[in-house]
Amino acid sequence: MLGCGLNAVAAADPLGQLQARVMVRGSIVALGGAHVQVRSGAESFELTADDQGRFTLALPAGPAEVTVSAPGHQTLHQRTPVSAGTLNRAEYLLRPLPAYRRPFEATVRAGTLNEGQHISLGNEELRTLPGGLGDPFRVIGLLAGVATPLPLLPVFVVRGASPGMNGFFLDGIRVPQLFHLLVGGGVVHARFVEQIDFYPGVYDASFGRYAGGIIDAKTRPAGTDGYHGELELRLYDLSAAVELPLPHGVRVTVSGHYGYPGPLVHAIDNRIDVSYWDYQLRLDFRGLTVQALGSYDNLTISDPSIITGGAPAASSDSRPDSSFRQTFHRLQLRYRAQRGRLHVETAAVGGIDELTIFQGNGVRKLALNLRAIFALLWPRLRLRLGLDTELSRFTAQNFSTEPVRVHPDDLGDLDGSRDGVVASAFAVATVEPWRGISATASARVDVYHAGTVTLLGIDPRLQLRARLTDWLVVHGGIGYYQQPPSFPVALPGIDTFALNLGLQHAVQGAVGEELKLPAALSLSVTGYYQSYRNINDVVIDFSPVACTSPPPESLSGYAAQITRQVAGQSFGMEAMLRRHSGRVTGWVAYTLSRAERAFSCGLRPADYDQTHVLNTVLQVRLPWNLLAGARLFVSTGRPVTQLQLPDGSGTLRNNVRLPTTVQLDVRIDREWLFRRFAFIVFLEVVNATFSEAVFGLAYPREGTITRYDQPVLNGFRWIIPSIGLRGRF
Amino acid sequence: MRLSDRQRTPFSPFVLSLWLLGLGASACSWTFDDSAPEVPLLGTPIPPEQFVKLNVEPARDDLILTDRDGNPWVAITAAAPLTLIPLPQQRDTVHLIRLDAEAPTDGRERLDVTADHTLVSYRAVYLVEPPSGAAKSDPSQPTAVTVFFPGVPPTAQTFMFPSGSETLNIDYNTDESFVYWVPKAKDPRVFITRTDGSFQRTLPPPKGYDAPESLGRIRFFFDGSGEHLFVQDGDRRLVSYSTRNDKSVDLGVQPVALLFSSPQTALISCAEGGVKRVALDGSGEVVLDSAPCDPDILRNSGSRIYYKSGADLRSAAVDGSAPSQVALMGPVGQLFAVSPKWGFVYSLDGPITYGSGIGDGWLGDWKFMQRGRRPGFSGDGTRLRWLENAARSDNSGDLSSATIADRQAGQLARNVRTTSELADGRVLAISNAAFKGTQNRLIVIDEASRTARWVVDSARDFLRIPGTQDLLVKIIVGQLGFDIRRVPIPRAVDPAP
Repeated sequence: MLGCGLNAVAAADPLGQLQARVMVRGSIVALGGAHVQVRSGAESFELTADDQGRFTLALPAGPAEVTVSAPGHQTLHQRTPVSAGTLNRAEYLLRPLPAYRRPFEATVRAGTLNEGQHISLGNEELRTLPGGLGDPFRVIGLLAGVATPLPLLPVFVVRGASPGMNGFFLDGIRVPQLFHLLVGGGVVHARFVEQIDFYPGVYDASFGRYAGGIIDAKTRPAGTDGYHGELELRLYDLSAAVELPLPHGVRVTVSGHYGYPGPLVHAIDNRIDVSYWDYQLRLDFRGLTVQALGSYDNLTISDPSIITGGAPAASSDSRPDSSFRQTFHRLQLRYRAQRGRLHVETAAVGGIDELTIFQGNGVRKLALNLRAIFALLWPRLRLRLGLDTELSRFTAQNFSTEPVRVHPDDLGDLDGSRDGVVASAFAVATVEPWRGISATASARVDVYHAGTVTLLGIDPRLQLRARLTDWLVVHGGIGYYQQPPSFPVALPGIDTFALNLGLQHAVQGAVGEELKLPAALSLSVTGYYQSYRNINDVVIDFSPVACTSPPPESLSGYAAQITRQVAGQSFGMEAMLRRHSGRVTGWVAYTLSRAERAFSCGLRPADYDQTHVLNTVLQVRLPWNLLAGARLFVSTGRPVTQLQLPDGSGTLRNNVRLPTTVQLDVRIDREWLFRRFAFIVFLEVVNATFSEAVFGLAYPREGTITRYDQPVLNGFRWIIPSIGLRGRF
Repeated sequence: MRLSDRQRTPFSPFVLSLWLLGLGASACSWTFDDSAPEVPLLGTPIPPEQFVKLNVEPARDDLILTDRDGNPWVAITAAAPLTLIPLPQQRDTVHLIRLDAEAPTDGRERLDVTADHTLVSYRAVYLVEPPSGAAKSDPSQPTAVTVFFPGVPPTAQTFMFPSGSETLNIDYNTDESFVYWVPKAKDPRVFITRTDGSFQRTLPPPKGYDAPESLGRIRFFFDGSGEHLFVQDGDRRLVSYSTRNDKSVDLGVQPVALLFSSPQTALISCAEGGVKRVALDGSGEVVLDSAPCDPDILRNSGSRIYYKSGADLRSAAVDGSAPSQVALMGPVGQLFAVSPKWGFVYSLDGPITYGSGIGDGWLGDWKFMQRGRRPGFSGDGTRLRWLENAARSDNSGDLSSATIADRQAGQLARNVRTTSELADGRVLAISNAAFKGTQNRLIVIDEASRTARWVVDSARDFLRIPGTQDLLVKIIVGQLGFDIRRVPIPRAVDPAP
């Protein structure tokens, strides 16, 4: 305790001892270093609570006016009676300030060394934004440059690239999936996620092996201020998180989900059952971080005709396994150190992935990843060098215990047993010749090997950034981005396959400006152009036979049916008006874009091209610890192919569009702070307008005849209510 | 050129240009692939438009028929058009086009027949006309079945039957006879009719026809000459009926697994009770092997019959002249082919594992196939060819070939659906056909020169026209149907197109 008596206590006055502790309200955390002011009669005292939030003070008997303040917390004024000759115990509980009243935290550029235009999200908004279902990664779908062409599903199309071209990183670990199946949330507990940086394109060479956007998430270590815990119950899952500061500076975080979304899914289709779980563990000790995380998803279809194409299973003995399972586990040991200007990060990651397609057929991947990044930071020059390698073994498996092994070759090239080697190196140099003006030149080399094929790619990239005034930043960049063949949908265990398809290539270019406006507003506008060659696109609309893009010749099975190897381009403009702080926060994100692919009949809109995408997100902090939010989502329908009379042979690909999607999501959070814990109730309704999700066109059948002349929209109306309770300390 | 310091700043146009130039120049990629295709496809895609198109509207299917003079015809069934209003007027149309060398190659010589619905066989087209209009609801109005034989001139016979949801069983080998039956009709008799109209007989409905659980067990089949119809009723009782007179022979209760002997004087039955020879003249049964017979394998090859018993492959003389014996010690799951020279081509995988006809492949102790289908010997008997990695729902596989003498195997083409060996040993194949699309193509593979050449692009299927060097190729033109084009088989000596 550090005390500073402004006035000596008169010796004649009867005294009492005030022994008090300052705590954070709603937790079991002591607030060390709090500033305490005490007035007792004419006397005044000032002191600072110790690391445990404790202080002791001898005071004249009578009421004492105690004022306790600490950064990030509401100042507390409390009258405490002090009796003479006794020990008076007191506890002062300070409420944390709501996020909008905390010191302004600008877009986090200092939080990452990676260069390139990006949006950073963190803190409260990751969990409470309407439309995100409390999941940090779903928030990506609310940003500019991102289209979500499949209603309900968190499939992100970033700047017109194929969904399989996006990369997901979690503390440098490449994770094969961000979300659980269907309505499941993210595979990482929201409390575990500290910050998400979203790079829609034109990022530096430290991110590689992807030719689309990058989602780079960072997890938080356990706090040093005390134990924290959290338990959350939603309609479809249960989650928990614990933060433990242990002796000797060891900090541990444990979290996870268990999902039971079956009843919710049954409301849409009662033939489908879904379950999932995930876990995360992080241990920090000085510069060493040990992380373990994993995820499991199971989707079972009770009606086998869905997978057998309508044919009933011959008998129970020959009934194919009707479960789809995906799981992955990662264990990372990371060490970070700083010696003067040199920053070093080294990590080793072991991983196991398993994917089981219906009928029990699947693949198992074992992988070991090693990486090292060295950064030398001077005031006007930053250099970074990185090395990264992965050794992997893929084994075709049948995970079913049934004797039937129906169609294992449907997996085609995806489940071929093989050993893969990936090796990468990058160098990034950022110079800042004048304050606020910087240029980043970078390049990376990637080598991929599996079977008899070796691929080598060199990707140079350049970014420029200039802070012209305090309120105006302009930026631009261009780069070459290459990626090995990828399955169009990110799945565990599916990578480093079919290398004979060659690398996917993208040239990305963008220019933009960021304006800092009054009232905590900012506006960013970016124009972009991306050219694609040899990319692995995903087929959404399987019906067109003519005017299509053929599959790669060397693929077979599902890989051939879903994958198209095409060229194309995308261009557009993104605008984002954002209010960062205040009682009212949120943004308006608008994307005007065009994504095209070279089909056999010429350049046509890509299957997931959406001309206009508007996301308006608003959050308001109301009295009584209420946080209310709404999100309005409007997007142009994606294009589909409608057969043209008289015989369909002249049909152009993607010649009509599905209806415009309008969706309103609302969310309200109410928090009650008790002495040692807090209790939050939240209600979120996704698609409160009960709008129809349209997936494509269908042609009705009348008897044995398909009415191609009478296409109908294939969709359904839906709504996802999410009511949850969360307790934390 | 000497640059000032100002010009050398990182943002001067010159330096920026250099950076951008370097950026573009250094962006590159290389592919090192040691697995180059063993049989490269030479030339460029040959567009289908350069070949004669035989259909007018999109075709649903095509089948080759032979007329009474032995000339080939194609029957092209038209796909349903997009405009289908009103639906009840939608009728099947079959275009019959003469294909022999004397006929015009552009398909001008054609016969068009229409009916409510049609059935195309190898010699005739069966046109079914149920009552229409006001007569549709009158159960006394008959259904007309016209058997149309293409030819110059064509011939046709029309027969009247009770109306209803009919079962039409055709003698596909000869088109000499057919069976017409409406199980749910007021008159559920079975009509056996010779297509020339020379004889017709009726049978009472097979036992069990009115019970759903036994209706599925009832079956009709003809012998190879169309002289006899075999009816197996719901109790598995098998009776042979002459199609020329009123004679019938009760062959007793028989299992489902039946096979004609060669010549067709008997049926071979396979069941738990063993393998039996059932004489078609009703003279009785002879037990060829009393060991239990598993119908997973039942195959006739010359004078011997091969079947599975326990885990082994057994064999018996069809005429019972020699005792049965183990032909191949088990485990044997499936039997694919029998060669007098090389022995058995078989699989250890049973038909339940991956599906019938799919599994690993063995010739003696040589495992030549990992998980394939349709293994068979080449015409000269020196090679085995099969579709590898073929446990797929799209019915395609990777066409592979191996020389038997030195057991050297290689891949010929990927995602192959259909193959046919030409007389000169080359192989026609529909490849790149993991699913229906314009990427499907017809190629011809010459294993001797280790090359493949284009025949025609966008090809989904093909038929060889008997007596000619031409093919009928289904060309993909859209969702609704195909073009049928007549495509000559490229000669082996043709230079690359």
